[in-house]
Amino acid sequence: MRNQRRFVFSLLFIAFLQLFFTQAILAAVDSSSCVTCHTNESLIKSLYKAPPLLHAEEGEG
Amino acid sequence: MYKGYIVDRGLLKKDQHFILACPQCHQGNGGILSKEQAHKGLVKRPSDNMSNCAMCHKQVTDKYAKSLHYTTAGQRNGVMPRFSKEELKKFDGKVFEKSCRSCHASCGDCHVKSPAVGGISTGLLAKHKFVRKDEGKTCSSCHGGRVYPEFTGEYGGAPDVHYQKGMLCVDCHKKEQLHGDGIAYTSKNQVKDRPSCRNCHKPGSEKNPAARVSHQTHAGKVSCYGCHSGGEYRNCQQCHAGEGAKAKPQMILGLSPRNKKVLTTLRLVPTVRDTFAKDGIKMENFDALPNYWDTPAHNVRKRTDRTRSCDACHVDRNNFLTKETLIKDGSKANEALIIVPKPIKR
Ligand code: HEC
Ligand code: HEC
Ligand code: HEC
Ligand code: HEC
Ligand code: HEC
Ligand code: HEC
Ligand code: HEC
Ligand code: HEC
Repeated sequence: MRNQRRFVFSLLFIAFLQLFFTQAILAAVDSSSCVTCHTNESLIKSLYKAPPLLHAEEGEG
Repeated sequence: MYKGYIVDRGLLKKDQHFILACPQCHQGNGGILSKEQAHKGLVKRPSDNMSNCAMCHKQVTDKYAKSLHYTTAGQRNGVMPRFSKEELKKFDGKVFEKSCRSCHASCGDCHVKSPAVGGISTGLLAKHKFVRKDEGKTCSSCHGGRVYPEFTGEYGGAPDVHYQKGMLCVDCHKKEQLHGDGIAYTSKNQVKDRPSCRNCHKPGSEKNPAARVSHQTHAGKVSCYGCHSGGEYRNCQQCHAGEGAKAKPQMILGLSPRNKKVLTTLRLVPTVRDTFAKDGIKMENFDALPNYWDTPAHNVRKRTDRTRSCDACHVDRNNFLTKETLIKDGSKANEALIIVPKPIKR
C-alpha cells in the first residue's frame, strides 16, 4: 500500500516536473547550443584543449 | 580526451535525468552562443551541490551527506591524535579543506564521469548516462595509488583471486557502505556495512582439512591477510604535504595497532615527523600513533609462501617487522608492533 502510494506520488511528481520542463526539453533538442555542440563529435574535437599536465602526486589511495 | 565530453543525443529523449535542461544542473547559458558565452558561470561538477540530485533521490543524498566519501572524516581523524589542540585548529584551517576535503567524491565521480587524477580526467563514463557502477573508471581513479593496482596485479604481484574470479569492488563494497547508512562515522573501521572475509567464507566450511586446521589454530591470532596476502604491496615513505611521496613495494607483518593480539599485514602510512612542517605543524603528539597500520591488502591468494610453510612464520619470520627494519626516526609506538611467534611443538 505504502509503496503504491509512493509510486503514484512519483508519477505525479514527474508529470509535474514535465509541466515546467517540456519547454526546456524542446529547447534542448532544437536550439540549445549545449546540445548542438556536445552531441557533435567533430565540433567537440576541434574545440577541445588538452588540460595542462599537473605534477601527479604519489598519494595513497 | 575530447570523447569524454560528448553526450549521447538518444539519451536526451529516453533518460529521465534530461527532463532537466543542461543549464538546470550545469548553469551557464543555454541559448545559441559561442563556447565562451555558453560556459560563462558553468558548473563542472553539478553534483557537488547535492540539491541537484536531492529533488529526485532524497533518500540517497540525505545519507550520503554523512558518509566518509563525502566528509573525508577518516583522513582527518586518522592523524588527529598526533596534534595538540592548537595544532588541530591550524590543521583544520590550513590543511584539511585544501588537501583532504578536496578529494571527496561527488555523486558524479561514481556515476557520471571519471574523477580527475593529476588534473586529467577521461570525462564522461558513457556519454552522460547515469551508470550504476563502472569500477575501472571510477574507484580506480581515486584508489589507483594502491588498492586498485594491487587488486588487478598491475602493481607487480599476482592479481587478487577475487579479481580472477570476475569480482570487482562493488561485489564486496555495496551501496549501503558507499552511500552510507545515515550515521556520520569517524573512521572506515566503524562502518557497519563494510565487508568481511568471514561473511562469505564461513569458518568450518573448508573442503581442505589442512585449511580447516590452520584456520582453527590461528583464529583470533592471525588475520586472513596474514596468511593470504599474496605478496608485496605499496608502502609510502617520506611524504610531505603537497610534495608527493616515494613508494616502494614491501610486505610487512606485525601486530595490528588496533588489536595487539593479532598478527596481520601492516602498511607504512604516509605521515612522517615533518609531513606538516611547512604548514607550521610540528605534531607534538607524533609518538602517540605508530607509522605502521593494519591494512586489508587487496591481493588475496589461496596459496602463498605462508600457506605452504609453517616455518615461514614460526622459524624464519619472513617479512616480519624487526627492530632493525623499523623506519628511521619513526614513532616510538612502532616497537610495540613487533612479534616473535613461539616455536611450534612437534
Ligand atoms: C541531472 C543533472 C544533469 C543534467 C540535466 C546534465 N548534467 Fe552534465 N553532468 C552532471 C553530473 C553529475 C556530471 C559529473 C560531474 C559531477 O561530479 O558532478 C556531469 C558532467 C558533464 C560533463 C563532463 C564535464 C567534465 O568536466 O568532465 C559534460 C560535458 C556534461 N555534463 C554535459 C552536459 C550536457 C550537454 C547536458 C545537457 C544535454 C547535461 N550535461 C545535463 C549532471 C547533469
Ligand atoms: C528529475 C529527477 C531526477 C534527478 C534530478 C536526478 N535523478 Fe537520478 N534517476 C531518476 C530516475 C527517475 C531514475 C530511475 C531511472 C530508471 O530506473 O531507469 C534515476 C536513476 C539514477 C541512477 C541509477 C541508474 C541506473 O542505471 O539504475 C543513478 C546512478 C542516478 N539516478 C544518479 C543521479 C545523480 C548523481 C543525480 C544528480 C546529479 C541525479 N540522479 C538526479 C531521476 C532523477
Ligand atoms: C573522488 C575520489 C573517490 C572515488 C571515485 C571513490 N573513492 Fe573510495 N575513498 C576516497 C577517499 C578520499 C576516501 C577516504 C575517506 C575518509 O577520509 O574517510 C575513500 C574511502 C573508501 C573506503 C573506506 C571508507 C568507507 O566508506 O568504508 C572504501 C571501502 C572505498 N573508498 C571504496 C571505494 C569504491 C568501491 C569506489 C568505487 C565504487 C570508490 N571508493 C570510489 C575517494 C574516492
Ligand atoms: C563511492 C561511490 C559512490 C558515490 C560517491 C555515490 N554512489 Fe550511488 N551507488 C554506488 C554504488 C556502488 C551503487 C550500487 C550499484 C549496484 O549495485 O549496481 C549505487 C547506486 C545508486 C543508485 C541506484 C539506485 C539504488 O539506490 O540502488 C542511485 C540512484 C544512486 N546511486 C545515486 C547516488 C547519488 C544521488 C549520489 C550522491 C548523493 C551517489 N549515488 C553517490 C556508489 C556511489
Ligand atoms: C573480495 C571482497 C573485496 C573486493 C572485491 C574489494 N574489497 Fe575493498 N575491502 C574488502 C575488505 C574485507 C576490507 C576491510 C574491511 C574492514 O574490515 O575494515 C576492504 C577495505 C577496503 C578499503 C579501506 C581500507 C583501505 O585499505 O583503505 C578500501 C579503500 C577498499 N577496500 C577499496 C576497494 C576497491 C577500490 C576495490 C576494487 C578495486 C575493492 N576494495 C575490492 C573486501 C573487498
Ligand atoms: C562478497 C563475498 C566475498 C568476500 C567478502 C570475500 N570473498 Fe573470498 N571468495 C568469494 C568468492 C565468490 C570466491 C570464488 C569461489 C570459487 O570460485 O570457488 C572467493 C574465493 C576466495 C579464495 C580462493 C578459494 C579457492 O578455493 O580457490 C580465497 C583464498 C578467498 N576467497 C579468501 C578471502 C579473504 C581472505 C577475504 C577477505 C579479504 C575474502 N575472501 C572475502 C567471495 C568473497
Ligand atoms: C595461519 C595461516 C592461515 C590463516 C590465518 C588463514 N588461512 Fe585460509 N588457508 C590457509 C591454508 C594453509 C589453506 C590451504 C591452502 C591450500 O589448499 O594449499 C587455506 C585455504 C583457504 C581457503 C580455501 C579453502 C578450501 O577449502 O580450499 C579459503 C577460502 C581461505 N583459506 C580463507 C581464509 C579466511 C577467510 C581467513 C580469515 C578468516 C583465512 N583463510 C585465514 C591458511 C590460513
Ligand atoms: C602468518 C604466519 C604464521 C603461519 C604461516 C603459521 N603460524 Fe602458527 N602462529 C602464528 C602466530 C602469530 C601465532 C600466535 C602467537 C604465538 O603463538 O606466538 C601462532 C600460533 C600457533 C599455534 C598455537 C600456539 C599456542 O600457544 O596456542 C600453533 C599450534 C601453530 N601456530 C601452529 C602452526 C602450524 C602447524 C602452521 C603451519 C600449518 C602455522 N602455525 C603457520 C603465525 C603463523
